[in-house]
Amino acid sequence: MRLTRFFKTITRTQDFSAALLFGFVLAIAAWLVLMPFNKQVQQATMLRFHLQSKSFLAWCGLQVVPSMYNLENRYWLTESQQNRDGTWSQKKIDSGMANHFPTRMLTSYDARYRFYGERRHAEMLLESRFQNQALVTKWKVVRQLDNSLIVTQEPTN
Amino acid sequence: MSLVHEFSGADRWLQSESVGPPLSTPMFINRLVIASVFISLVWKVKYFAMGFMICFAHPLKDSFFPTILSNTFVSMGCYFLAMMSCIVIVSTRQTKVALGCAVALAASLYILCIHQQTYNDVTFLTCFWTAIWSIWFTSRIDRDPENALLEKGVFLSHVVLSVIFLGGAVGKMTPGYWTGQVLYEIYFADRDFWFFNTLRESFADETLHFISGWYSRFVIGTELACSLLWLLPPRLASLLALVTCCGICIMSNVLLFSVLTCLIGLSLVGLVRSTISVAEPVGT
Repeated sequence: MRLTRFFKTITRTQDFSAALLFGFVLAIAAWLVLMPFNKQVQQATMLRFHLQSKSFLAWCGLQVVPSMYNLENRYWLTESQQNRDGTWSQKKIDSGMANHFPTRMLTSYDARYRFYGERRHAEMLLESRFQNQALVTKWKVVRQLDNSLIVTQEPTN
Repeated sequence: MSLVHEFSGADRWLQSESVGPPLSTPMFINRLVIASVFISLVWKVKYFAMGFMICFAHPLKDSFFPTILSNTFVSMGCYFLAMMSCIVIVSTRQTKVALGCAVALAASLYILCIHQQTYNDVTFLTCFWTAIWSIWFTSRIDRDPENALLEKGVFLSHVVLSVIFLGGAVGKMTPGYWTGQVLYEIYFADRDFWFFNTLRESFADETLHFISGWYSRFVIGTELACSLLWLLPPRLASLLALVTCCGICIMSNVLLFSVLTCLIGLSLVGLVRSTISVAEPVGT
C-alpha cells in the first residue's frame, strides 16, 4: 500500500533520485536476503570481515552493506618469546569474541594501545563462522623501533 | 566596485541567515536529522580524539589498505569535515549550501567507512546512510510540494532503517547467536554495564547462559520485525524504530548511541510528519 503510494508520488513529482535511492537500498536488501542461503554471499561477507576480498574496490563496495553484530568472530592473540636456546615459543595473551570485523583486533585504536604498545612480536588468529562456513586467517604484528606496527598475513596450517 | 559587490552579497547572505520567514517543515526535518548525525559523531569524541593520538604514535602498515587510507590526517580530516558539514547544514537556510554540505558529509563518512583506522566502527556507516537520505531529501526541497516530499521522505527513511536492521538480523542467523553464546561472551560474561551487572549479581552462570539465549533470539526477532518498517503504518513504524534504537542502547551499551542516534533522527521524520499537519498549496 505504502509502496504503491510511493511510486505514484515519485511518478507525479518526476522524482528519479528517489527511485534511484530506493533501487540502491533494494539491491543491498537483496544481497542481505541471500546471505542465510547462499554460500557465495556468506564467503564474500567473511572475506570482507577479514580484509581478504578479491580486490580493495570490491571490499569498498561491500562496506556500505549494514552488518552490525554479524557472524561468530573469534580471536586468539599470542606473543612470541625467544627462549634461552634461541628457539621461539608462544604465550597466550588474550582471546574472545568480536562483534564484527575481527580484524579490528589488529587495526583499531584499542588494539594498537592494548596489545601492541609494549610488545615486539605478536600473532593473531582470527576465525569467522556463519552456519557451515568458516574462515580462519593468521596474522603477525611486529613493532618497529619507531613504534610503527607492521601487520602481515601468515599462512594458516 | 567588485569589493562593494562582495560586501553587499555577504550582507544579503547574513541577513538571510539571521532573519526571514519561519523554517519550512522539510528544512526543519532535515536539520533535525542532521543534528542527530552530529550527536552520533560527537558521542564518542573523546574516544576518537584518543584514537587519533594512538594512531599517530603507532602507525600501522599493511598490504590491504592504500597508503592514503591508512593516514591519520585523512581520518581526522574526514571526521572534522563531517562535523563541520553538520554544523553548516543545521545553521543555513540556503538549500544549495545544505545540499553541498550533505554531499561533503556523505563523502567524508564513506571515506571513514573504508579507512584503515575507522572501517570497523559502524557509527560511520549508519551516519553515511542517514547522509545519503539527507542528500536526496535536500535535493527535492525546492522542487516538490511539501506534502509529497514529506510522504516520500517518511517512506524512504523507513526503507533505509529497514535495510540497516535487516543487515543486523541476517548476520545473526547462525548457531552462535541462536544459542546466545556470542552475546554471552561479548556482554553477559564480564561487560561492566548496569543491566549485565544486575544479571550477574542475581543469577548463576548456567541461568545467565539461558537468559543470553533468549536475549539473543529476542534481538534477532526485533531486528527482523524492524526490517519490515516500510510495510507498517508510518507513525507505528517510526515509534517502533525509535523504541528499538533507544532500547538497544539502554539494555546493552550507551556507547551505541553513537551508532543509533542518527537512526533515531531518521525515525523522528515520520513522527514529526504525523505531528505537524501540512496543508498542500492549491494547484500543486
